Amino acid sequence: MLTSILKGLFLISATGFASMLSYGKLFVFKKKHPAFVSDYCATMAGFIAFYSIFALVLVWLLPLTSEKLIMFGFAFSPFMLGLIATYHTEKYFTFIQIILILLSMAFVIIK
Amino acid sequence: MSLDFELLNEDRTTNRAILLFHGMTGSPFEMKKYGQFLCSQGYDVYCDCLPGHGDKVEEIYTVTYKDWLSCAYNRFEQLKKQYDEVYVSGLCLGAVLAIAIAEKYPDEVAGVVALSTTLFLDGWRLPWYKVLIPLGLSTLERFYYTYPECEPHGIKNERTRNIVKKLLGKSDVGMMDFPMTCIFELLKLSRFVRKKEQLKKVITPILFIHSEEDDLTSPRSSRVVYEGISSEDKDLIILYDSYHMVLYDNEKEFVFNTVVDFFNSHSRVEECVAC
Repeated sequence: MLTSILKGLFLISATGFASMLSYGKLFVFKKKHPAFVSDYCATMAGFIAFYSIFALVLVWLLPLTSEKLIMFGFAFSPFMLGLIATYHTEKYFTFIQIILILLSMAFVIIK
Repeated sequence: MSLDFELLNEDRTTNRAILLFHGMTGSPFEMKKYGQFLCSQGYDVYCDCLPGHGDKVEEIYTVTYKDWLSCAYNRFEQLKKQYDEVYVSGLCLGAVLAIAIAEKYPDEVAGVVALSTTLFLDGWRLPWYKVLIPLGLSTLERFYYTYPECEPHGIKNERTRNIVKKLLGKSDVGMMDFPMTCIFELLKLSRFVRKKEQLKKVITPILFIHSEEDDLTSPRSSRVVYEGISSEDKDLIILYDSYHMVLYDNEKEFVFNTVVDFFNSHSRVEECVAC
């Protein structure tokens, strides 16, 4: 029961994160309204936080070590990609991040 | 057109220079009046536009804190070859660079004045989500987010604030927002400068001026450096009627006079009356 609830919360956070990142990259971040963009980014940061927190909680609940490691990687992927990316490579890493979020969702649904 | 400025004292009676550094997203324009005042008091004054600022604003997304340090160190070394005494002063990010110079050249800097030192972004005007800033900085968000310049623009005096508001947005004055990449680099510079072993290297006479009501960074930034450095000759002055931009606010005359008194009291170069 608890696992199902946590999986549900993780999927909601992941959906929010992926949606906001995709929509933001396509439309929002190009806007010349800094106040709106900053609030959008703040909301997305909240989804990132929940995504990572629920992923870490799921690490604890998954039975196999390999599954735990995979989930751990998903949990820290926003920070690892963020630290590696540069201004010139950020669009590639944004694409990779979205793919990783979708993979993490599929992983959680299957498990 | 370069935004850097050099103000050479007409009397040329002493061989002393002051190197100034402007703040984050600012330009040498914000140091001009300060520089002119110092020049009128007998100093040659220099201020360069930091990488990623002013006329080099397109670099703001790619500039790193090492670029700022490199610019600061190079300029200091150049001036040290020409002058008997070189003082360093800066505002905000510029204050952090001034402290970095004191760490790297502890025996060569004649004195440092750090105004509104910005090591932490914990001022009262930061938005409700400021706790999420460290989170955002280490993700891809730092390439998308800019913190918009907003009231009170670091200035308590309303009349002055209204004048500055009209000027903001012109590339030779300052930017209308703080790119997160720039904030990321400032905080990396802050971590570098405030390491205990780095602060301990500072033995230079140093004066800190910080406003109690600083809207961008609390006096904690100045206190951390004040308490960590090895300088015996150090002073921390807290202002009570100004915000972050102490060079423009209600107590600017006090700031100007205090700074020049500090420089004059630490000068060991004798005035050449015959020159």
